[in-house]
Amino acid sequence: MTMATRIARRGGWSLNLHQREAIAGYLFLMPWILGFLLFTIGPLLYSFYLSFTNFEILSDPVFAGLTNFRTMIHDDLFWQALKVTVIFTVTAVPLGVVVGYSLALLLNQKVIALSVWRTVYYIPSIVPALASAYLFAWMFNSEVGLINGVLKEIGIIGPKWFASREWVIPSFLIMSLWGAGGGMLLYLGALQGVPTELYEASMIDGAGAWAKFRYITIPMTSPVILFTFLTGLIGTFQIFTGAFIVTNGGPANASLFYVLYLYQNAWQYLKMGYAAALAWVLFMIILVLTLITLKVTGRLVYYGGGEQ
Amino acid sequence: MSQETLTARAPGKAKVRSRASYIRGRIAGRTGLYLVTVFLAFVFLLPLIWLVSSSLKPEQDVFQYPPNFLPTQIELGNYPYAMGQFPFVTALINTLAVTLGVMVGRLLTASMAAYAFARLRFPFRNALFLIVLSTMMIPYQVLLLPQYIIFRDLHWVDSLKPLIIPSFFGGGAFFIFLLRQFFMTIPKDYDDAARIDGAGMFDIYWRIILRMSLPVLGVVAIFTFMDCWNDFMGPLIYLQSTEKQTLAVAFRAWEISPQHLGFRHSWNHIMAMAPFSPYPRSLCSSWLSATSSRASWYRDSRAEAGLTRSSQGGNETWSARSTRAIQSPTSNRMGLRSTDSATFSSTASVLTFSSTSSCRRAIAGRRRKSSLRSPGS
Repeated sequence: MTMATRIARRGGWSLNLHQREAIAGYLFLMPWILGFLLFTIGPLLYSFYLSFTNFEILSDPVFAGLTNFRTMIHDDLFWQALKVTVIFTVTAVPLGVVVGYSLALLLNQKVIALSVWRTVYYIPSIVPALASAYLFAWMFNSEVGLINGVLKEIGIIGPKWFASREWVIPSFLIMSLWGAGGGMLLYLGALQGVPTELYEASMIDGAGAWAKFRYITIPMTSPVILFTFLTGLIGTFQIFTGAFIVTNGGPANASLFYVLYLYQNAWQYLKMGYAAALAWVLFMIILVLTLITLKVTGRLVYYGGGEQ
Repeated sequence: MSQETLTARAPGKAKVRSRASYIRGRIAGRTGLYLVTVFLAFVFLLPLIWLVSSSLKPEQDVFQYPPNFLPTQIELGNYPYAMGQFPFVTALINTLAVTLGVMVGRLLTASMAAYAFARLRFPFRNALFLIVLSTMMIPYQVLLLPQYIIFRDLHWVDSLKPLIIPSFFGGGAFFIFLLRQFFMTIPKDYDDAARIDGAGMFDIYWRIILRMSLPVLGVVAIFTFMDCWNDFMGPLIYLQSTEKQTLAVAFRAWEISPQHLGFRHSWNHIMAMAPFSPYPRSLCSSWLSATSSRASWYRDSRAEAGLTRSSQGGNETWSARSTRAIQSPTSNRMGLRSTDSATFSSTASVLTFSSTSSCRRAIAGRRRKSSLRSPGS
């Protein structure tokens, strides 16, 4: 076919192309659409229904109205789980951001052998939750662990860490801060992307180190900070593996994290309906927290694209 | 260098600090910096050193108190002993099977969806993309119970299928998003050139877009590997019989089993086994990131050779292009501002990480340019 005939036929052909493109688009999306219906929206609605039922995995669900939610209000363990998780989240997430950001700032000072330090700080964050759980259980063991051994050498009698009600949450906090290198990697990427021209311009204006940090570095990296903060928030609320392995909620429910309690209800007490209600409450909490964070940070975060 | 001198001069007390005191302060600052860096490196490495050291300790060293930091003698026997305690090889094969399956499903279907969102025009495209993004907020636990019921009714419980099959249905919102952002940075001229040569939409996807995206596909593969190796709740719920379990669950089952608890709590054996989780993971991710940065280098060198010369300018490196992708006004137009743009940047960071070489070159180039412009520094 010559070019001329192609151009001549273009009028009818181009509409056809649009339709073909739309069909192709939906064909390419088909796996996701099916997955969305089967594994996301379907289960989401079904679990919403289950949260209003009395359901033990072997029998059929029986509609029970608001019973599950009423039980929840009077369930001390639910409030305990919520309290533990909220306390842990509001300390671990901001601390994780601060530690990760400080590490990134440190490595952004043109240190030599950058890639070595970066790797060293990053590695702990890719150690699987299971391995780090066992490792910390062993290191913070109050009788034979390394930490209390070292503390004893310098004359301090260490706390019982994971075995004590006061220290169990701080112990989990140390464990989670050990993985702060994951965030560091993202911050370092963002810090290296801040245009040097901005610093030069501010120097001419006589800005000191703090002013440069406060008015250039922080705003230019704020989208990444917001992102890690949000994903940290969502992830920390769903913490499970560490708590399941190290303490299983103990001592005296002092580390009964929310998802652990949900798991116990669903797979140990087989109260599936109640577990579904717990899951939906978790979903709502995460949704509200995310929206609040976005609302609060909306004006504080700077996006390079700006209004165009 | 000039930064501090300039700021010191700026408030009008010029030449208050002599050159010598400036240099002395600078040396002190650098020394302090390295002391902190080394100290923190030690703190971060300590648990890992302890892990390896414990796994090599003989029995009598383990309960030494106060503990020895390094083993008095190296006991390699902990490894075969611990592996002999549970079906290690079966568990390893199961873990690898899950990882490989999820990887194939995710790379294939997430990239298909991403291609549709990045390149094809069809009704409700933006609405559907918004839905993809919002599914990222749904906690896994909400979907877990109904999914369990689905798989139970399909008689898939106690098989690897519930862990693998769902990844063949889109592969996860985050990955669709990541790939879509990357695909959008590939010049459309390639598609047009291929179309003139008679390629269909599938050819463009398979033979151009995927081949051009090796770095980001590498990143997806790394993330998948880490996810699968890390997953504990999924296998815990779905896998019951010993011959089906993945490493994490099989290890846990051994650790809490009565035979094991009957003995003393032998931490050296546990530590000998625990590394098997991080080792392959770190190895795999370093290998993949090496591969993908090589792939991105390949693309950069082609770009520099002028092969990707396009309306966007042929010499742009990947990181430069992905940075621009963050700043693309599409996000604002779609009304996704905050979440979307935030994720944009993280994507860029991930991409930057994946193509460290190109990133470094871009930064070096920028420094060269800026130092040319301001001879003072």
